Amino acid sequence: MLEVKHVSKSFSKDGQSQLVLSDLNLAVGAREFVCLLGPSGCGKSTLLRIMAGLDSAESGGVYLDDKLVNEPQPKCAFVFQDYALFPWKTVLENVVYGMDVHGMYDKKTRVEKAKEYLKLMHLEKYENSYIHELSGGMRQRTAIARSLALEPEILFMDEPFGALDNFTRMELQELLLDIYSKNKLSVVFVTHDISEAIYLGDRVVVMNAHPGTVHSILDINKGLVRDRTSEDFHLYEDKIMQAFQLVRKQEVEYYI
Amino acid sequence: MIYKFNFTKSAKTQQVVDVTAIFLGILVVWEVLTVQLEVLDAFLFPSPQQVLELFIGDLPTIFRGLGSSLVLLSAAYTLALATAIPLGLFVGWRRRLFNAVHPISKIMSAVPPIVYIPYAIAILPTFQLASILVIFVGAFWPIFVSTLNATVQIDKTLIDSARMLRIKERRLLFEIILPAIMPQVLTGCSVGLIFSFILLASAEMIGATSGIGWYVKYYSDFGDYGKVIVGILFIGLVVTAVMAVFDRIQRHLLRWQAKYSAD
Repeated sequence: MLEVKHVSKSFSKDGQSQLVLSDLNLAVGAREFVCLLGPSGCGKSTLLRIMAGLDSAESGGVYLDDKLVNEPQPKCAFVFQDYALFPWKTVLENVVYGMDVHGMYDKKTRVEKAKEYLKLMHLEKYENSYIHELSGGMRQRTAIARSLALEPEILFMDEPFGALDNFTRMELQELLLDIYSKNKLSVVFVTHDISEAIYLGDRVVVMNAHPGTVHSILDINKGLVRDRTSEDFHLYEDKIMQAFQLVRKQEVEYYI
Repeated sequence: MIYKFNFTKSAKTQQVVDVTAIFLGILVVWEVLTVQLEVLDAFLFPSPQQVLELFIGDLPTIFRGLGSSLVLLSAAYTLALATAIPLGLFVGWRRRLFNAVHPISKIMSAVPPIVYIPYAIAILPTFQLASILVIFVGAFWPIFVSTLNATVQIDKTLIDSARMLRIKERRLLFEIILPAIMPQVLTGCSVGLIFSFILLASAEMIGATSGIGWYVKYYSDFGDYGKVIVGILFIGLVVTAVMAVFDRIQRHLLRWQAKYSAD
């Protein structure tokens, strides 16, 4: 269980202190897929970084199984929007390296395991390619394979599909759900895409901006939203848009 | 790949033909001016044939000189690599240390290392040590400064990615930061190598009793300009050969980059 308790954070900009997160509370259970959804500037990425131990909170704290998180924790992995792969390593070496640092298995097993994860991500043909030879979608699949190879209990993902085209994004969403259902892990997924949040998350945390707070939390009935064009999918979308006051704005314009 | 600067086979052949043509052209002009027309003073401008004969006759001396020069150069350059790169990484990684060292290194690296030569000869017991010191200083600063700046400007996401692995600082420096900044480090190393040659030749011209720089200076003192030309041409060949080896190493180390991936 990962708990965010009364977390606040501000950044100083042009000598002025700006509150990014204000007294934020949140809990992520084991094997839960939580999406942090909000407009840019709502502090969702900052929150994710604090949850992962990459940044520290100004007040309040993040607790993993009641232990304060003040640095990156073992059994946690992070997928970045711009992949953050090591370009001087091949695809296979990228996946193996994390296991090596964590001291997992012996060398031979590491390579075998890495190959399994690459196969899972349909990258078996590109094991020996360098990163610059891959498309954006393949790079992110490599990054996901690298994270999964660490056998994490929590996977943090910071707008991982934000830089990809629509088709690749949908393909990777599918792949991610598949992995999530087969592995014992929690996912905390940051996005500004409403339908992505509904499609992926068990719960969608809708955030407000300036300062970042939790507006509401939406439980998604996964049985209903398997189909992106279904009635229920649109119902969830409407709910979230209302939360962002997008719907009301349109009505006002209509009456004028 | 759009970025790849690739010669087609015919373009490469064309280049070889063109370079050879220019080279032959220079030889012909030289030959015509010195032997055929005799417009140039034979004392200052020996003919191509004379230079070639001197070169072949003096080969043993030249190579012995090259040996002693390369010992100085490789000792100093290796020392520069072994100190400048780890120090640059370490100082660049520690913010406070960087803030303290950066202004100092800016001043120190601005001094042309040639001016140290007389002083180095005065304070050190042997000429060898003095020239190693001066070559070292000349190679150190470009390598150190490029490593330092690249470390400070490194892509922060790469660091975050490594931090998520709970990596130890030593592994972070040498397994993540160093390979990541290798392109800039190698640029510094290449500048450092060229500086090394300049300082090697300068030091030898001032105080040595052997070596390729000494050879040129020694024979110009005697007015033997044939041998001076031999020495200059030979230094050109040596520097070209060493830089070609450096280029191969660079291509190998950066084979993960798009522009070098053909090898």
